Amino acid sequence: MFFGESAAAYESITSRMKALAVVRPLLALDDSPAKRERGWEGYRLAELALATIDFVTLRIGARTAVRQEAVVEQVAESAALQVPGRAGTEYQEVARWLVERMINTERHDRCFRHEIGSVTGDGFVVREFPFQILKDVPDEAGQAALTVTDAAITVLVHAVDVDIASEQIAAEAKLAALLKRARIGEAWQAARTAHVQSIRYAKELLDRMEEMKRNVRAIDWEADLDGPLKEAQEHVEERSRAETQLKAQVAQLLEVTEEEHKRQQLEALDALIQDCLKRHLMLVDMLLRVVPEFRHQQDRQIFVPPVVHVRVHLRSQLLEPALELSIEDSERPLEAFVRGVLGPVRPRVMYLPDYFEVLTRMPDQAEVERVAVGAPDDWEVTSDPPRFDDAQHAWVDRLLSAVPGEGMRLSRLLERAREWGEGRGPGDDTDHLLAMETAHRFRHVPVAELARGEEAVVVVDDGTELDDPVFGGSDFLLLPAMGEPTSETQPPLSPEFVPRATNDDLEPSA
Amino acid sequence: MTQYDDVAAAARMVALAMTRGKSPARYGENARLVRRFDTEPDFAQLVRKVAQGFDLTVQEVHPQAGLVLATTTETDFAVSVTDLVPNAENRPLYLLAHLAIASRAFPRPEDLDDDEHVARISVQKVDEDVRAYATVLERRAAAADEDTDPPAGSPGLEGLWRAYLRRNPTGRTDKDRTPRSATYALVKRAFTHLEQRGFVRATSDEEGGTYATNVLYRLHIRAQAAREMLQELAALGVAALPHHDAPLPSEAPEQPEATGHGMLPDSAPAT
Repeated sequence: MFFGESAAAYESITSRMKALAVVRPLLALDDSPAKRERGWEGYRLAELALATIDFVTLRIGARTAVRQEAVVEQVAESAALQVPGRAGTEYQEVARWLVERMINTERHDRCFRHEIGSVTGDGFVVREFPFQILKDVPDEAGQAALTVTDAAITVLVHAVDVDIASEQIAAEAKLAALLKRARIGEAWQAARTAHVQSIRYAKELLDRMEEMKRNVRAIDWEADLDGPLKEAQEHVEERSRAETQLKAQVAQLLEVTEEEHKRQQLEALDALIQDCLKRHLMLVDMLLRVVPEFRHQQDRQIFVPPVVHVRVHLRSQLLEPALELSIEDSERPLEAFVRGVLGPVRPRVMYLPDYFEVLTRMPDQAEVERVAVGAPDDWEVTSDPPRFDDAQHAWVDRLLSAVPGEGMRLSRLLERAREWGEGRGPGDDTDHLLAMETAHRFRHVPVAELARGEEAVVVVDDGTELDDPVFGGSDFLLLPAMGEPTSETQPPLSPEFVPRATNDDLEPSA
Repeated sequence: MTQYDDVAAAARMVALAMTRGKSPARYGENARLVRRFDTEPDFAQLVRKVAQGFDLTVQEVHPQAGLVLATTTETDFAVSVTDLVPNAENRPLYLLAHLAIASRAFPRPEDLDDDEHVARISVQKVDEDVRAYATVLERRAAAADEDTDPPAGSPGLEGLWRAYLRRNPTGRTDKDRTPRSATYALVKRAFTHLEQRGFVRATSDEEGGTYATNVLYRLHIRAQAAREMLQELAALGVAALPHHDAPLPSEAPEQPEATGHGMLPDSAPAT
């Protein structure tokens, strides 16, 4: 029948188109306007993309997923290889951009799409073929990490889609043959192919196990696990044996080879085979775990009642109604949400040293704009206005310098200070400045000035009470004194005016 | 093992659930406890009782995240929102930012159930989301000729959407910094708090900061946050039915840009 025939023929076309579609996003990278805009013309982005996929593929064998930072790091190295002499940040930027393009972060569902025709029972139809290359998945601890899709491994890492088991046997046979003829460079390539094959093996098993963790009912023990498991186990044992032999062969070759270049190649090959062996051990371990894991998942999923939770459409059921509420009404629902999101926290016990740490820490959610700490002179600029103005200081200085040789009582000076004139009127408090200055001079005899032989007014308390409406205490006697530079320790005071100790400070009497 | 050892182990499991970086895959003790929880009903019950003593509830035990606890209203172990955002004026919008992040990360209810769902969300996109709907409400209010000004003296009666629109998404102070009250800064702060607690991981600085979610974040929203907020809304007499066909507002402008990169072989809309 014509229809049936063409359907069979078209199947192959469809599958090849799918493979070509997967290549397309990679090739598109080099035509991307971003490449020109950012000045990245020197980079071969499609090749970097292949390096990215290789790296992720080789790493997911050991773990289920790779952190994006690790991938970016590695790709940045390849970028540096392509265009040496640029800044390290540029390589990082190229790498990050590239990785995100391959996750396709610009699309909400992350899928690349291509329309591909196929022939079905209803005739020729064009269907959309969605695919991904790198994919965000939670790693074993639930953190976001990257993995590579099967489509990408099949097409981009190893461009054939055949039975994995036979493929690996072929790769290893080739490797053994090449080793026998000591063609080490090619042997390395062959070993690498075998390596990738065992990774695909592991990934397939891991996928099955993940599926099992999600829904154990979806797996039919007899059909999906029992047979394939036995097969896989046999395969792995066989491969491990073959690799042990290969390793021995490499070791023998290493003994007889003296050429430095070849020795290096052999050592690299040895490391690669070692890694293959390790991977196979891991596979064996995984295989051993499958059965207990199946039982465990059965316990967990079938015998434990499933968690019941309300299905909520966050946007239309929570966000949009909340926006329509008033600020006041929205508070409780929103707080309930955020409390739920952030979950329980362990309250921290504070020890004394912690207080110091907390007190000295800059809170990053401080509500105020921070101000830079100023130099000391900044503070003088911003300090309070002076209590007394320059005119008042000048007036007090004039009064003090006008003290006659026989001395003058504080009461008289206060009177003079209170005289109005020269812009001074009621409310002027020059008398306060004078009183302070006098008290200061009483407590701090101007020894320095006297020692230098300068004239200074000294203040003496002879026991006379001050009779003043504002101030109380002693009515000090102010005397001009002249220092003698020769006597450095004794201030030249007349013996009858020996100051006596007093606690009476000059204070406002009010 | 004595009964005391069992109690100690159960308490340890609750403590580990409140600690960062001790997931079963990374921490053997936790893995053993998770296994015990799954296989020994008595032990599971003991863990539930210990949690109950702290006014916490056991939501589920997840293979990657381990024990998932939820807070009750009585517990002292819940995060204090006042501590997170001391400024009372910024607080409602900060809380709203958390909800907007979650709704952007899980656009469909199914996403909350998808064990492999990892969302990448950016400050810019979250802000656009809220702004888009707030603008719809603004137009609706204008069409109905409503008075949207809050009564004098009670700013709390202002609509949340209006409070959001009054703020600029970003801006510059005289010191050339984004002011802390701008919506970008509030969304960013919500992201920072999520990151500090290990719910998201920063992936790049593009679009004001881009983050990827982890499993525990999804579980917390699914198990507790969404449900409790729904109840609170119901208490206010607000109930909305889900409408799945609502397209994401930022989906449309995404399209030409993505095609412009030559990455998309066709122009089919994302679903």
